[in-house]
Amino acid sequence: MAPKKNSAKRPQPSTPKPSAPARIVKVQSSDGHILQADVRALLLSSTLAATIKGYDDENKPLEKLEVNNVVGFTLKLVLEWCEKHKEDDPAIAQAEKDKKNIFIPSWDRHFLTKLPMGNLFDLITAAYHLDITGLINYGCKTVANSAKGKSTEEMRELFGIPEPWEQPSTSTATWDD
Amino acid sequence: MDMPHIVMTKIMGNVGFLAILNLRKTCKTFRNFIDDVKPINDLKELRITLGHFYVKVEVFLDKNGYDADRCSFVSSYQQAPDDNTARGSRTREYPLHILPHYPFDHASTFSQRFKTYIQNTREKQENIFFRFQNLQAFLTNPYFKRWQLQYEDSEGDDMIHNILGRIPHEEQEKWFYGIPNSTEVLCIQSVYQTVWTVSFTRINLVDVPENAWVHWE
Repeated sequence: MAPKKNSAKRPQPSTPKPSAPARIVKVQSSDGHILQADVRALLLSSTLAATIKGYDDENKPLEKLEVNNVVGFTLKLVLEWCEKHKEDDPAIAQAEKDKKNIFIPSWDRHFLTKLPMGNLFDLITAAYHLDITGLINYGCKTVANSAKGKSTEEMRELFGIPEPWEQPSTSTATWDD
Repeated sequence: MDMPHIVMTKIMGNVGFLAILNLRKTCKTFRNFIDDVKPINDLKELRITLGHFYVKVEVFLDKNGYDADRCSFVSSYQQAPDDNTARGSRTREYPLHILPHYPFDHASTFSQRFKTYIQNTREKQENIFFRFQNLQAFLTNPYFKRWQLQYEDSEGDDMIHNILGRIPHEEQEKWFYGIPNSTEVLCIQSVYQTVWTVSFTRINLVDVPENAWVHWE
């Protein structure tokens, strides 16, 4: 019997909603880079969503959002990911929040695996600061997948960890404990 | 890697038990993190069989569901026939890296009690060390549900009765120990089926039989 693809438990993307006119705002990174983003993409970040809601509640014009803990290069990646997922049903990310077996869609897999490990870590850290559940989940899973099946030496190389004799106050004799 | 604690925990929860062991050896930062956090992993059961000249370790990982009848892999270590003096090199053959050392403050009383038992068996020193390290790791890791010890020495059964006390209901052949600040109970069972087996299993308090005695200490 041919193996069946098990997709029963995976949340299905909702049907695309009729797209509203895009509301574009400026987003400034910690190193002063100014980027533009659709508000619907920014709403994937719980942190930015709260800020945007604050502006809307007070009927203040939202011209520029400042993201103080993410540099320009990483913020660009974050916005690229959010732009791709702005039509997603929020229930998908919520359903996968504490799920152990996370399925990474092909676009995300390609987007994340092409990044050097250092950039990927920066992206995950930024996603954590901005509270973007889906990006945290996919990023962590990608890092975990890249570590699977690797020896200690290969992992040191992958994560840029110095060799034992290059690490400070090293006593390698007990590392196999 | 300077990553938030929650993110690191999430990554560790996805890498799997064997990768965690390798990651733990990369540097002291990882080692301390893994020892502190004890990340959720896919190790479900470890069966250790000790003979006079061999150790067999069966590792059960949760790959698409835990199957108690199918272990993921087996490591066997046997003493070479002419190896009478090289105790040091023989020790290195034992897979001590299979389980990391976990701090065991809250379980120290219990493990000390079993240390007596383990030390009193007629085992070689390496075996005793190996068994004790694994017992400590089991007692201090709430995700580790079952630990089983098999031995060929028939004196073990008397000894375990001396340590744990007589069982109020002889047909039960199980001891139950409450785990502080937990809804789980440690169930210890000693049975003989071609070899003596002592199994340690974490079970829910509600699954303890009605008439059973549960020790709280």
